[in-house]
Amino acid sequence: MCITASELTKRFNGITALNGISFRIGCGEAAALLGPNGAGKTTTLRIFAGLLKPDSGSAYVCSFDVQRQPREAKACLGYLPEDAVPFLNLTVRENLEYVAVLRGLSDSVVDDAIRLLGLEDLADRTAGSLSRGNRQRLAIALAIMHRPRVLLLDEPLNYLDIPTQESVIRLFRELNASGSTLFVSTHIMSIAERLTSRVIMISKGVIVWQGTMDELKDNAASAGERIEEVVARLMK
Amino acid sequence: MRFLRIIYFEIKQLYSKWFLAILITVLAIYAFTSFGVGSGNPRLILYNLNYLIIILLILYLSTSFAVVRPMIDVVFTTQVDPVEYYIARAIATGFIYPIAMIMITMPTLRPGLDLAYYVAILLLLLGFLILFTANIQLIPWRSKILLSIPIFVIIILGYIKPELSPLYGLVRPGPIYVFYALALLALSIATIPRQGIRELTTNAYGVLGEQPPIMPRRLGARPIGLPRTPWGIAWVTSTTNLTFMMNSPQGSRAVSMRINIFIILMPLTISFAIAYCIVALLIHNTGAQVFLSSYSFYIIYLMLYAFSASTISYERLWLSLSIDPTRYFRYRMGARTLITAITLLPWITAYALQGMYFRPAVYLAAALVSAVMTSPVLSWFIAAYVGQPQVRELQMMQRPMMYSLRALLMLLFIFIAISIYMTPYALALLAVYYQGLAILWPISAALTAVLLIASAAFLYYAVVSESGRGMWAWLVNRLSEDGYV
Ligand SMILES: Nc1ncnc2c1ncn2[C@@H]1O[C@H](COP(=O)(O)OP(=O)(O)OP(=O)(O)O)[C@@H](O)[C@H]1O
Ligand SMILES: [Mg+2]
Repeated sequence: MCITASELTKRFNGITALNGISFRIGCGEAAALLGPNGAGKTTTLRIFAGLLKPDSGSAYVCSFDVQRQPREAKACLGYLPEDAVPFLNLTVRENLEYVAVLRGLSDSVVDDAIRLLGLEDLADRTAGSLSRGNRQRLAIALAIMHRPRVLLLDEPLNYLDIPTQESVIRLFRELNASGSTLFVSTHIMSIAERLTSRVIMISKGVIVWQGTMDELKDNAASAGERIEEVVARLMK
Repeated sequence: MRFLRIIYFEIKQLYSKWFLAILITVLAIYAFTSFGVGSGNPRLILYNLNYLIIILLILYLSTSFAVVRPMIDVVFTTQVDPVEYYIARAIATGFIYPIAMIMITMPTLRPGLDLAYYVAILLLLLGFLILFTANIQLIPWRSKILLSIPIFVIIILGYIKPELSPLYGLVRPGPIYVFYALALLALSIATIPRQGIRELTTNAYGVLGEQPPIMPRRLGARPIGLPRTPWGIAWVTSTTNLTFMMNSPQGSRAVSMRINIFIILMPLTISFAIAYCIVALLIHNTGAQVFLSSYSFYIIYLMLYAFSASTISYERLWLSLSIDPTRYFRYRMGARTLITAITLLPWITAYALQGMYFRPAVYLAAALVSAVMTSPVLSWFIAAYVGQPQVRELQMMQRPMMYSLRALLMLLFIFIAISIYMTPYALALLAVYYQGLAILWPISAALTAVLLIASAAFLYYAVVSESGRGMWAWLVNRLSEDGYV
């Protein structure tokens, strides 16, 4: 198992964001985390990224407890936060070089990452001067440059133009095919369908449905509904 | 190697090339011209060093370790050793101290001096200062005071018994001071808040992100419901907002609360002003009066600008400017000027009282009145011009503040402004010292009147008159370019 949640609970001043959720995602799998606004998706991903401590329960990434062995877990994962903010005072290339230093990678990965996200023309612009979509491209490059075994993505296609969406989807699928585990939070059903084969649906901090993407599609087909309609019903 | 590269990238984010180039040029010129000049007066050098440390201390006590958004989004998601990163970041932040310290001590260097000791002491003391001040910044309020005691002791020793201050090693280098500095460095390494750093890197969103519910009434907050008039809203939102570090069972956390700022500010200014009056009454020596009044004014003025400028980071253009920007900024500035006036009233009174037996101090009271009328408006313009980043989610800036050419220019402007404000006082001092220059008294008075009138005219132009429109339009545009939303 590459991602394991065991009885995760998180409260914010009395609001229960997560109420004891547990699930497992095997290595090499790709799973979607679906749920209405405020369901606790971002909270879940932050706990796995080792940026938020759960009130109780544990999160494991690559079999390391994120809170107890944070460095081992973080070496194993890549995290794309929602509205990620890179180093705005550095250029695109410097951003990548800096993260290569922080992660102990060789400098060759920098050029690879620039090529993968099509950032060649922007390499010497400061990140603060990029448009929102280009900033998101840089953030994706920073999250994947070390080819992590576990990739946590929070709304990965936000702000991207259509051609970039296509190439980024292709990129994530390639990473998945070469062994990376994907865990994606998104509101766009078609993206979940194209990127993942499993679905974990949460609402108000509890898991309301889990299964394969195919089951979900079958449900929709048999009810004669669109997949979004089925999902909306399940989330209620 | 990796450590050095982390420092490199952190420095790159904090300082522009121009800033460093100019600073180093000035340093080089200064070093050449002042080499050996001041060796006769080590005490003066020591006072300057002390003063530098006082400024640093104020800076560090009043701010908290600057966590910027990319630290959470990028740095803390990597496997980098948090303590290693913390030290690298502290070194980058303190990168300009050595420049200041070398500049101050350069005049005492002379050919025969043991340079090896000097360099060793300089490096060790820098390590101490950089780390120790960063430690002070990171820990919560209660422990801040405790941890800053060694620094207070160093400052006090510097004035009372200079030979016992570690800084004296820079003036008269020797092996004992090397050990002294080494011990201090060890102290700063021992007091690194490792627990806090670990917590920050594994629970960043918990430490920084959790917002308490709206504050209880006893802290002077308005529970819910804003007044219905534009002025009322501007006043309430200007006076009941505060962000600071708070202790909690889980550790320290940054919280932004609806507390009436007067509840925090007034006891501070009143108690310091009273303490000032008492000290001023007790001393009879004119030199000491000069020292006390000018240094205190200097510090108040710098703090006034620092605090006053910082609040612009919390502006939300898309909300605030849904009404006419000029109107909005006028109300906001009106409220800010009033707050500044009320907060500094104890100090204005203190200088006026001191003026009864040390006449030049009256001119500082007047200068403070002028500063009250100009700094609330000017400080926001300076902040916008320099490019102070907006504070967004998690009460956090999106990027570190950059030391640039603009920052240097504005620093220069602030120092020129304070020199102008202090001119009447300086003239009065001359009149005190040289009886023959009594003619300077009326000149001082006239100059003070001019400054007061000019400041009032500025305030009128910016806050009351219609013709200030262009200047507010400039500010809005500038903030947009700085990335404010
Ligand atoms: N720092 C915080 N302080 C207080 N409450 C919080 C905090 N962060 C999240 N919450 C609350 O926790 C709950 C879950 O939030 P979360 O951001 O995980 O939702 P989400 O599923 O990502 O929603 P969205 O689809 O809107 O992105 C919400 O009720 C939210 O208000
Ligand atoms: Mg979310």
